[in-house]
Amino acid sequence: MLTLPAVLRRLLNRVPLRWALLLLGGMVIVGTVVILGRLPNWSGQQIALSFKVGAVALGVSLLTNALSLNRLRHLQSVNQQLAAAQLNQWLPTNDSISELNHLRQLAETVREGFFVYETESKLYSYVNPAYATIKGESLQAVYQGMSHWLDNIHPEDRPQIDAALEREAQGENFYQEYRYILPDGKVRWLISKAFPIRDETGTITRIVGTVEDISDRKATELALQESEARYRASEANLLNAQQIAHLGSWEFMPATEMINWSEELFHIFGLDPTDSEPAYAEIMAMIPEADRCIVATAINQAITNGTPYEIEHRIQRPDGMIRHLVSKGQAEMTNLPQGIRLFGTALDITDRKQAELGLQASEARFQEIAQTLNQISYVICVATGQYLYISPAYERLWGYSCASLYQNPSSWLDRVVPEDLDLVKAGLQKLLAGTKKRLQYRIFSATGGICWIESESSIVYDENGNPLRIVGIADDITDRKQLEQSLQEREAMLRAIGDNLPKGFIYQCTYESGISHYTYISAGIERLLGLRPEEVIANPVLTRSVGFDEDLAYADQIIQTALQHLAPIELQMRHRSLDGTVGWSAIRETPRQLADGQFVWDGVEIDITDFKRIETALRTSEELFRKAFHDAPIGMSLTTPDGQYLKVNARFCEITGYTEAELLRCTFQDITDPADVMGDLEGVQRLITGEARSFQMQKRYVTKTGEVVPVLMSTAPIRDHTGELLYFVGHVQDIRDRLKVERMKDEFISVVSHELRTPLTSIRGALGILESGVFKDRPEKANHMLQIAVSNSDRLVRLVNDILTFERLESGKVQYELTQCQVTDLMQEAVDGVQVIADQTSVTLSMTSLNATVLVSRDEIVQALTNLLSNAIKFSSPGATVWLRAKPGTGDWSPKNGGTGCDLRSPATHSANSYILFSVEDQGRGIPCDKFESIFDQFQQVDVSDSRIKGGTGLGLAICKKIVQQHGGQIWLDSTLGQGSIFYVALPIGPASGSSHPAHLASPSSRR
Amino acid sequence: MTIMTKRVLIIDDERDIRDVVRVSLEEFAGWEVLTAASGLEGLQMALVEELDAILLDISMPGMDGFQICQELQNQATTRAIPIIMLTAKVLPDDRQRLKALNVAGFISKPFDPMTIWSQVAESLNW
Repeated sequence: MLTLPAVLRRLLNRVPLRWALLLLGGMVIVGTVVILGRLPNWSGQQIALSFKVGAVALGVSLLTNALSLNRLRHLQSVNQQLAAAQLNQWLPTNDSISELNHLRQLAETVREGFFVYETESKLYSYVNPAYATIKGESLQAVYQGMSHWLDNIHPEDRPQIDAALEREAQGENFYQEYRYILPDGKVRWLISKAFPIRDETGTITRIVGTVEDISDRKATELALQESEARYRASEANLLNAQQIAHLGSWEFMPATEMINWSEELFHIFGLDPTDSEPAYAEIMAMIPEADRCIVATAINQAITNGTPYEIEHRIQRPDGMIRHLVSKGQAEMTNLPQGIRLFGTALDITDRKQAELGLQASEARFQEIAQTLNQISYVICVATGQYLYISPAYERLWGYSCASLYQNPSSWLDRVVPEDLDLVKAGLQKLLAGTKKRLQYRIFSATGGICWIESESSIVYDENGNPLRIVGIADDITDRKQLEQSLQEREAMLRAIGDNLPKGFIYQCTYESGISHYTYISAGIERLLGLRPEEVIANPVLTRSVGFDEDLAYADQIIQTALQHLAPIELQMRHRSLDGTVGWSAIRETPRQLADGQFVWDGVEIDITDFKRIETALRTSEELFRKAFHDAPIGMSLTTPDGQYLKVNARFCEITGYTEAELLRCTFQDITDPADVMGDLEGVQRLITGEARSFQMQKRYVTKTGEVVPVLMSTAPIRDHTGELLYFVGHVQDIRDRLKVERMKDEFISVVSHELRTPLTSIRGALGILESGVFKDRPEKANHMLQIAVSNSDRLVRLVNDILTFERLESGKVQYELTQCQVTDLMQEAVDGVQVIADQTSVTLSMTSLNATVLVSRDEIVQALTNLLSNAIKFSSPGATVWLRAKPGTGDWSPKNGGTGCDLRSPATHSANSYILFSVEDQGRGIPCDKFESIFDQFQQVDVSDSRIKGGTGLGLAICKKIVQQHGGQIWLDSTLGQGSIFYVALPIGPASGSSHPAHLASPSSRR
Repeated sequence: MTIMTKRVLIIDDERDIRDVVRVSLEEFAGWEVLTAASGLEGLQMALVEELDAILLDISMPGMDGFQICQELQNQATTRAIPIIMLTAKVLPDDRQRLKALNVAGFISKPFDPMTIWSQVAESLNW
């Protein structure tokens, strides 16, 4: 900039001041307008340029003003010299007059006002025309002193004038600028110079001075000040703008290496603006080596060719940061001695560069991604319909090249499956109408199969809201579509299953505060509950309307618990069917957690009415069997294959003498008599191997009390359908009685056989001897033998008869013929029957008579009485008496507790029927009380010898008892040892209440 | 020269049987037969008499055959006398009991009177 003022100065010296000022003003205005008007819409470069221009313009105008001022000052000094010269040469001489005239001419023509003021008269002694013009008055008016100039001074400036006048009075020169108000009101800027003239005494006599109208100059000055201010402001703005734009400007004189930098350039370079500009070499050093030659070349080119340059290069700041700059430069020839001047700007584009680089990087990345992505991405220009970008994935999916699409933008439609073509086209239409569209359609893929494509496009608008571009992506969703389809199929299948459930339905629900909300119910609910799915979904409480209160209450409880623990719900509930009948349903619901954490419940409800019926029937029959088991009259047990008791009935417990609980804790071996265990196990083994289907054995149990109980046991295995052995079932019969009976039978047989053999031995022996003929000559001996044979034969006959009678009575095959009999007759008949024996043994028979009748079987009663009598006779000593008595009785039959000291067991009391009490009394040796009962059993004799001695059979009393009992009567005895015995027989007159039939008496049905 | 004939005691409570046995043994075997009607009587006789054998009935009132047998064997004087039991009992239990006794033999009733003597002789190795 230093050389510029010189140039301008030369220029201005040639050009009149006025032109210079015009130029100045014009430049200012233009510059300002341009700058202010165009700032916002310009790019950085444009702004830079304008500021360059502005800067130049303002610089120029500033200089111009400065130069103008100089010129004015110069003129003013001339004025002063003139005035001084004039005064010094006041006394006229010729030379001086001519000089004076010369001066006067000069004064007349000069623009500046000149005056001489007489202080005494306060009038002007001389003023030039210019003075009057400046004052706005006529010459005359001035001379006349119409107005005092002081009064016309602008009030604001008045004080300083007064002050200056004061100083003038002291002797100082007066030199002031001030505003002067003309008579017509206009204001003018004047500059007044005056100095006083003193006489010899030193008093001021005259004031001489000049006045110049510096209005224009002042205006210019003001304008200059304004523009200066504006310049400063715009300089500041420029600096700001430079700062904002990171634009620095510079000037460089290669010859002198003078460098001028704007403030911003310092900032750009990271240097302190208050320092001086770095040298050329220093600047170069800040440019990285790689870029240095570019810069140098550009500069050199500019210098040599004069072409402007624009280059990008980096610089490295002192702190190490790298900045990117765009440097523009231009060379120009100057008239200055330095010659070439280079100037230009540098723009810090680092941010932009970084952004650019970043963008490049991300673009590169995007490209990379786009290249590798299977997703097709595309950009279409709306206006042309051409593809601006299509990613390589297109080739892979469509099988067409990307180039083909660039060429023919609708070529991709060829691949679309015909059915979907309309859909696709419609979609495109909608897209252009403004709706963001997602399409799914099929294409014939490059590989030949069908591909599902999903594309999503949207429109990019320009600043006017017109569609500019379409951008979108397209994906191969074949897998997803297949999944979708299979899912749909699965769902359809599920629904079909649900709907086809015979008498049942499936459903899904969620629970909110314990209340179910159905999300799905299959059609079967209508068949089952008479409610439609949609009804129930809308109003879940409907299902309660067909239920039963107790079931519902119970269900609510279950549901609550299940909800708490997220456990499956299993229920059985009744419902009222459509036809009014009650049905049963089985319900099962299980919870399932969805991806979002919520729980849904999948359920199924099935009609189980039939099942329930069967169940009831089963339970009933189970009940039956259970009862049958538990109440059975024989002992039943179930044991494991190891023998452990699983189940026992009451009878079994009775037999074995243990409680159920005790039995369930032991095995059969535990309670079996040790002697039988082996046999039992062997039998069980045969069952296990399948050798036998069942086995029976007689065994003994040992009861809790140690008693040995003989039983007949049948055991059979229970197997399941595969043949696997589950358990054994055993039937157990207490055979104590039977054994006793058998024992008795054995004994009986033994005794009978013995009894039979004894007379047979005699007979055989006797006859054998006779046959041998050994006694053929000894008739007495022979006769003796015969007698033996005969009597023993009789004995045999009797025995056989008794046995048969007894057996007949026992077997119950006897059909009695009941007739009314006179008691006395019966008794007489019996007596007659034993009379012979009585006589033989010298026993006296005594009989009472009774006038009464009984309804009895005659022969049997007679036999009974006969037996009693013959016993009595047998056991009587010769000379003894046997009494047969009969008397009527009523009510209780219990025999009198006679003075035998024996406690007789009283027979069962019968009803208050009347009866006949027979009695047979003897004087024999008596019978001990412990035999009172057993004596009536067969072959039970007090003494075994009795039958031998007495020829009895041992069946007599047993036969009596049978006969008497079968008549509904009772037989018992009373006896005193050593004194005798009385046998009582009580017979009901009519049939007793215990007997079954009036016409005949049937023997008791069961033997035992 | 006198042939010592056998002296046999028959103990049985049945008179007829006693008679038959005595006649059989006397007539067909020529033995001397003593009789006792009860076990006790028989014991007493066995103690005083010289006997070659005793025929003992099992089922008798009072002391039965088993008891008499044991008693005879307990007594020193009678121990040596061989005993043959006469029995009509057929039950297995009784048989077992019989076998437990130390007797020379059994004869079951009824018997053939003509051959009874040979049965006895066989049992006694006469």
